[in-house]
Amino acid sequence: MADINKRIIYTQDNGVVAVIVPSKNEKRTVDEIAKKDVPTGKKYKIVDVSEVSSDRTFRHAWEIDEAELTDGVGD
Amino acid sequence: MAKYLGNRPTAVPLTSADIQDGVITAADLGADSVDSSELVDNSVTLAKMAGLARGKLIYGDASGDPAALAVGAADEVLTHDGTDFDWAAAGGVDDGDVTMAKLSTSGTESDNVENRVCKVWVQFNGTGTVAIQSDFNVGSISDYDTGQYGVNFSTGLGDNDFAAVSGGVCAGGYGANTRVNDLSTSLCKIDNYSTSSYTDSAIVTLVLMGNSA
Repeated sequence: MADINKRIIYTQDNGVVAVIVPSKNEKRTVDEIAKKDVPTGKKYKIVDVSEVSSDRTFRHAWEIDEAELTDGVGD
Repeated sequence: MAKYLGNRPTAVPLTSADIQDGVITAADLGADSVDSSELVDNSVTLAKMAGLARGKLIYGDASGDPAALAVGAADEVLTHDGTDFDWAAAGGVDDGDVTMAKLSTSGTESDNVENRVCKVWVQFNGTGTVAIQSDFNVGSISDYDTGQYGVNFSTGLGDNDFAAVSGGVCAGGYGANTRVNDLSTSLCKIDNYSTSSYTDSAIVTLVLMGNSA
């Protein structure tokens, strides 16, 4: 069962960070979800939900250093 | 008719004509002297058989002999495991027993049930800490940007020719414009916007009907 307190983050082609939210009904692990749902070849990182801002005022400006995306690459 | 006085000559075989009707009793028969060869086919009636408790059945047992099968319980049916009979629960449809695999996939539209079933649905909060409220066949949702989301299917669809409807509510409770785009067998993207700009929605929904993989 996926841990719904985790989030998967990666950088989209436009430079904006995308955040993947696991479903509580999903049988896959968060890492398996990342492998499946992160675009092919994109590096990702799994973080606690608390690490993602809930203030979306500047959502379009969310960025992350590529060097921090160390948990895997989308299949 | 020949009749004899005293001892009957042994050289003359006895025939039925020599025996008076009605004089031979059961006591005169030798033990085990009557076997199946003395029985005329189809001459043993049900009335001649030993009694059998109501509901029991006669079957061949492991020794090849007739045996009585015990009475089954209410609503049980007779089954066979390839060797013996037994009673088992009736194979009717119990609550919760109809799975997707059991639904008709008939090419005849009026018979097809599987295509009438919703393949994906979800409601999620697209504001603040984006979170899924409830879903079916959703592995995750993707938060791409303000008002731009993706629904990633847990089990992919058979093709991307599905019909999807999305809805959303803007801040203040007014309905947002939503649209689905970038359809694939594993993902359906949703754009939520008000007038000319994307906007987050506290309630984003998607309902999708299509072909299973």
